[in-house]
Amino acid sequence: MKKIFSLGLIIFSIFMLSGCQSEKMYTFNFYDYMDTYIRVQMMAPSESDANKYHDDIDAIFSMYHELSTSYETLDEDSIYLENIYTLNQNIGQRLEIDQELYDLLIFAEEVKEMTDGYFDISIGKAVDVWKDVMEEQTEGFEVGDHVYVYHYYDGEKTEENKILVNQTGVVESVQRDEENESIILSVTLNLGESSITIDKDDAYKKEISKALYDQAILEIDALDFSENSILLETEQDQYYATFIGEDIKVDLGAISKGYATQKVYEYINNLGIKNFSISSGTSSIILGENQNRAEENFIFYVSLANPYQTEILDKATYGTIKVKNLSVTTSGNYEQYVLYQGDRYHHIVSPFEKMPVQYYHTVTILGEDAGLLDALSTALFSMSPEVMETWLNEYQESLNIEIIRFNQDLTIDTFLFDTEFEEH
Amino acid sequence: MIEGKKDSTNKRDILLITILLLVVGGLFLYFQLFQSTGEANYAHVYYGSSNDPIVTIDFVKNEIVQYSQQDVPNQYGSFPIIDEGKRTITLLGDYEINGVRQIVVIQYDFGLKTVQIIEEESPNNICSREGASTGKPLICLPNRVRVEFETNDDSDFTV
Repeated sequence: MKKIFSLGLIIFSIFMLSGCQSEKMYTFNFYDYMDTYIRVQMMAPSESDANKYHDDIDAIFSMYHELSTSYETLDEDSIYLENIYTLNQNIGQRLEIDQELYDLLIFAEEVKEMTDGYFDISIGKAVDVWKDVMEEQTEGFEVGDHVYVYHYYDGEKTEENKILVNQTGVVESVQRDEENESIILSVTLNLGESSITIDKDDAYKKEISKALYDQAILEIDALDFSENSILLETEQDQYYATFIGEDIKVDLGAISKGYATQKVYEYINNLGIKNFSISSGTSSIILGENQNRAEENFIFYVSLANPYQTEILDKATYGTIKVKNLSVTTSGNYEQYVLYQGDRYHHIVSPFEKMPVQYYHTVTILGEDAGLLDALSTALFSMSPEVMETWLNEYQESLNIEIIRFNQDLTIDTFLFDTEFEEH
Repeated sequence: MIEGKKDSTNKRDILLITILLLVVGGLFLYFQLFQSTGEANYAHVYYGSSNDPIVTIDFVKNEIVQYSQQDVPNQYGSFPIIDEGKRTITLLGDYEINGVRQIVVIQYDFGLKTVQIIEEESPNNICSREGASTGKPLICLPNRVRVEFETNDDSDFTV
């Protein structure tokens, strides 16, 4: 009896093990597309299927990367006709393009229409001005530099000793290590009426200089987008694009990642695979069902990054949503930015102001189409609360989107249907 | 005789079960005690598209665990370079200057449970500008080096 039982157990175990071997979750990492680390996790029936899925997904990201880049020309042996870089090099010329790029441009123009121009791929030159400002920011502290101080600790680093400042100071003196001049021990700042000395335990960020800021304003004032237009035509199964305008430069940075991610989702969905997740950087994710949470209806817990983390002790996330079969996209000012007079300047540029605007730190959108969400989160980021509310009244239901907004005054607003959001 | 044998088998079974229970209980206590919520327990250092870490920074036991060598051409020598005195782990990145691949230096702090990229070459230096992280992944592109945290909060993604 015992022997039979043992034998049964062994056979059962082998069966279970081989079952695990054949169908399981696979993780694919992509580093080379759209300046983003992309990770796809999906169920596959076997290793050879997984390899095929990997290659197919790689081909999708690779194609949209090549077509949408504004940094480099197409490879000589590229199978594509033109990309955004070559189109930007040939302003005013009608060029034949591939259908995939045509569809992407049509989609971007549709979102522009839908958002009353708040999403605009043609303002690349204004985006470049602010990207350049971010790159020109220097490290280190010199007398005369401006530093924004969030708070400092008077004595030991404890909550009782924390003193809020939230103000810009000017560097009066820099205290350096006697043995190694490159090590800065502390910096004394003039705050107008008083002076404070800050060190590495405190929360502060160096600001950009007035000269650098003024230069950026001069540059954007010189840009004229009123003549910008993108002409898209199709004739007998051939597709054409013409970029028109003296200051036009098309930048698909705010849409191509989400758009390509959506195409990958469609590929996985067509395979009939339910357990998957796709995360393209920290800004765009698409979720299927979470096999690790069978007891909770296969949901994923998604944390929302705290855009106002000024130091290590501040919380890294400010809330959690519990979702499945959904796409989540965040546009925010916190990953890369420079400060000037306490305001953050970054790559999300209002087409009307030609500069980053100061309403929110992040706009998170939940919905069905990652390409649409990517573009919308950029558009909504530049809308004032009043404009956004009017816009949402018109579109929120028909698009079936939900919004979580982290405002500049550090309050949080939600426009949700039935998604659970928990602040923490 | 046969009866006696059976008896000793039962005793052994009981002993085995007791040991098992103790081990499980011990593990449970261990995880309860040493996994305070929301903090990183481990930071894994990866290179390339591999899903297997090369090095893990263990914030529970405060030690560095190396699993494998980084696969790099011979002329660069051997990576990772782990310096427990300076608390750094150095990998060879993919970014090249004048045809020479550049290093990525990762610094960890067992006290604060943080990891920071203190040295790397890349066009925008995004990952070294990130500063110290307690949980947010540090992704160094185009160096293809990444550090990911394993925390015991139950979040699957952060956006």
